[in-house]
Amino acid sequence: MTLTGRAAAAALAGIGVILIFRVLAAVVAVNAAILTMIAIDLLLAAPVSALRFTRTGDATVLLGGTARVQLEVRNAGRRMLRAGVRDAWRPSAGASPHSVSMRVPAGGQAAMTTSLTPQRRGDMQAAVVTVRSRGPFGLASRQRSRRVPWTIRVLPAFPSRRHLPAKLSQLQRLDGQHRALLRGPGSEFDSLREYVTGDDVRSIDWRATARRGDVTVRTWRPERDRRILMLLDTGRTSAGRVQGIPRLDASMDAVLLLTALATRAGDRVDFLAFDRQVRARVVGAQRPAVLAAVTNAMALIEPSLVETDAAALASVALTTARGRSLLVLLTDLNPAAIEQGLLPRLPLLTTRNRVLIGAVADPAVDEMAAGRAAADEVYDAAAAELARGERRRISMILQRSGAQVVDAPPAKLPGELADAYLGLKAAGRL
Amino acid sequence: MIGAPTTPHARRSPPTESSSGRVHLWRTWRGPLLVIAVVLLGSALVAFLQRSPAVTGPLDPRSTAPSGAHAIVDLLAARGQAVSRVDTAAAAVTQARGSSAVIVITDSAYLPDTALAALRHSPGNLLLIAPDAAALAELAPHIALAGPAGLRPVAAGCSLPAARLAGPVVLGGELLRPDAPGGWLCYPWRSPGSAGQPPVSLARYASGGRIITVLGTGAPFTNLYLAQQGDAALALNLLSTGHRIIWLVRPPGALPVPAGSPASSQSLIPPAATWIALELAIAVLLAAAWRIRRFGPLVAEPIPVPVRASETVRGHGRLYRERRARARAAVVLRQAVLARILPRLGLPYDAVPDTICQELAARTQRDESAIRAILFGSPPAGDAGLVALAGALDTLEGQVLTQ
Repeated sequence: MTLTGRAAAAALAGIGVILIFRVLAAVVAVNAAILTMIAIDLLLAAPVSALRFTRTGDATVLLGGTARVQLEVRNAGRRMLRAGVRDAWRPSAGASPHSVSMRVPAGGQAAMTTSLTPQRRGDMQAAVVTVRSRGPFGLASRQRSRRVPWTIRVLPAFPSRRHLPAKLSQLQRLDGQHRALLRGPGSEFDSLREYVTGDDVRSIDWRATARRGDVTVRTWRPERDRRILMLLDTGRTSAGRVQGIPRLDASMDAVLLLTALATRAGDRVDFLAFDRQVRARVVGAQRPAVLAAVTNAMALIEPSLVETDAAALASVALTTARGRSLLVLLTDLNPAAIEQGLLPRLPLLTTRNRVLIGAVADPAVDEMAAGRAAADEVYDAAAAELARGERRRISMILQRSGAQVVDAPPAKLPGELADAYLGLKAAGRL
Repeated sequence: MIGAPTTPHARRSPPTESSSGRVHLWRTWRGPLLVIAVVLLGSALVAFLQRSPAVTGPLDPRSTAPSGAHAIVDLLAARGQAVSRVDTAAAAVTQARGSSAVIVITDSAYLPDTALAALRHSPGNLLLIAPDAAALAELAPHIALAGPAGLRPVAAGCSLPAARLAGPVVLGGELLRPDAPGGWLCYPWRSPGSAGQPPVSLARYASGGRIITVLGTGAPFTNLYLAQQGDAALALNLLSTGHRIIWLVRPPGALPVPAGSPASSQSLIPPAATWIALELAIAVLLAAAWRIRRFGPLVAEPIPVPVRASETVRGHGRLYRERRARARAAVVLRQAVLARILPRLGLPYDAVPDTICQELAARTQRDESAIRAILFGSPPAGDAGLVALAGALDTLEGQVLTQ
C-alpha cells in the first residue's frame, strides 16, 4: 500500500475542523475519518493482480533515434481501475513519460506509449511495470510491480552514412573507368572490341587480332565478388575515448561505411569482432542482408579490458577468410600492442591477403602538440610529439611489412578508409 | 593506454582526471562557499556599522526617540546638574546616599515590591513619573490614580513656584487624586458639572524629610513635548530639588510584571494549539508516508568509466613537467620538426647535421650557426628557454613548409 498526497491534505484540512470545535473529540473524529477513508481506499482499489499487460512496438532503434513501445493494460477484475502506471526502463534508455495516470473500467483496456531515446548502444530491457491503484477517495493506493518483458536493440548510429552517396558515385565513376583498359590482378575479362587510337598497346589481344583480321583489344571490368573480411579489435585499446566517444564506436562507424560501400560494389563482406575470443561474427551473409547483420552484431559489442591476442586473431582471420581477401583491421596504433602482437603475425596475413589497417587518431594529441603558451604546455607538446612520432613509426613499420595504414581522427576515418578501399579497387589490387 | 571498464555509447561524458578530484571538489563548492562568505562578511559589516540599538525605553536619557529623554538630560548637563542613569533600584538607592539627590522613577511598572520598598527607605527626593497603583501605594500612599486623560495644555492653578513660573504645560496621562490634604496640587482637570476637588496632574508634598513629587505623565520630559508650552520649564523646575539626579529607567529586556500571580508559559498557549500541533504532526507523518514509497523499484544501470584515449600522453606530459625535463623535451621537439622538414628538403632521415644546416641556411637565407643552435644546440637553460626554443622551431618549420 501507499498513501497519496491527499491523505496529508486531508489532515491539513482537519486542522480547520479542529480550529472550529477546539476539543479533543474533533481531533479524534478527524483522524478516525482519515483512517476510515484510507481503509476503504485500500479495500476498494482495483487489484493489480487482475491486470493483464501486453506490449507492442519497436524492437530496434538507431542510437540517437527514438523508439516507441506501447503497453496495453486490460482490466480483468470487477472494479474500476484508477491508477498511475509507470513503465520503468534503465536511465540510459531515456524513457518518457515517467508515468501516466489512467482509468480503466472493469473489463476495459487502456494503453500507454513510452518513447525511448537511448543514450547507449546495446539491448535495453524493460525493467518492470509498476501500478498504483487508487481507491475511490484517492487517499491510499495499492502498489505492485509486474514484469512485462520487452527488449529494444539499440544499433550503432552510423553517422558516416552521409558520406555514402559521395563514395558510391566515386565507385560508379570507377566502374566507367574500368571499362577502359586498366588491368589489375583482380580484374576480370569483360569483352573484346576494336582498337581505337589511344588504347594501350599492351592490351591488344594478338590471338583475337589474328582470328578477326582486325586489331582487337581486351577490356576488363572492375573486379567483383572480392572477399573483404572486417576485423574489429575490441581489446583494451578500443576503450579509450576520443572526443568523448570510445574508439570502438568510431571504428564501428568506419566498418559500417565500408560494409555498405563494398556490398554495393559487389564484394562479399564478412565481419569478426575479436579480442581474446570472437565477440561477434557475420560470415557468409547474403549480400543485401550484410549491412543489417553487421549492424545488429555490433550493437552488443563492448570493449573488453584484455590485451588482444594477435596470434589468435591472425589464425581466426586466416580460417575465416576463404581464399584471397582484403583484411580490414580496425585497431589502435599502440606501439606496445602492435610491436609485440600484430607485427610478428603480419607476414602470415599478408602472404595471401591484402591488409588494410584503420586506426582512430586522437585530435586531442594534436592540440597538445600545438601548445606553446607556457612551459607546461610545451612539456605537454613534447609528450604529444613523442606519441605522434611513435604512431608514425609504427605506421611506417606496418606499411613496410606490407599493410596499408589509415590513421585518422574519428570524423575522417570512415571516409579515408572508404577512399583507401576505392583506391585499391581502382588499382585492381583487391 | 590505461584500460578501464568502459562501455561505448554516445553519451558525451566530460573527461575526468583521477588526480584532479580535489580540484573538482573545489570547483563544485567554491560558488556556494563564496556566497556563504559574502553573506557572513556582509552581515558582520552591517552589524559593526550599525550603532548598537539604543535601549530605548520611554524616558531613557540615551534615547533620542520622541518618547526618549535625551534633550532634557542635555539641558540639565548644561545647567551643571549631573544625571546618572541607573537601571536597578538598588543602584539608585546606593547613589542617592549623600547630599541632595533626586531619584527620577520613569517607569515603576516593572519594579518589584522589594525594589519599591528599598526606594521607600532610600535617601533623596523622589520624582515619580506616571506611577502605577502599586508604586503609588508604596511610595506615595496619599495619592491615588483617578483615571486617564488626553494630553493637552493645562494651566498651573496652584502656588507651587515650579509650576506657576512654567505657565501652561502639555499634560495628561494618569490623573491623580490626593486622599489627604497637604502639599501642592497643580494642574487641576476641572470637568463641568463635577463638584469637589478636581483630579490633578502634579502632586508634591514633603514626607519624612524628603520631597515627593508625582507627575501623572512623562510628557514634559520627553523629546517630543519638551519644546512645547512650558514643558521644559516645568521639567527643569521639578528636577531642581537636588543637585544630583539619579535617573532610574527600565532595565533592558524587562517586562512589566503582571499584577496577578506569575503566569507559566504554558498557560499562555491556547488549548486548541496543542490539538492543531498534533494534527500538523499527523499531516507531516502522512506526507512522509506518501513520499516514502518509491514508484516501483530502482533500475540498475551499468555505468561505464570514461577514459580518455590521450590519458597516457597527458601523463607523460605531466611527468616531463614534474621533472622539468627540458633536455628531453627539447630533443623530442627537435626530432619532430626534423622528421617533418627533412622530406621537404629532399634529405634522407639519416642526413648529418652539417648537411641539414647548410641546406636550411640556403633555403631560408638565415645564418647557419643560428639554425644549428636551434636544431642541434645545447638543451635550453630554463623553462623560458624551452618556450623560446619551441617558438624558434615553429618559425623555422613555417619558413621551410611555406616555401
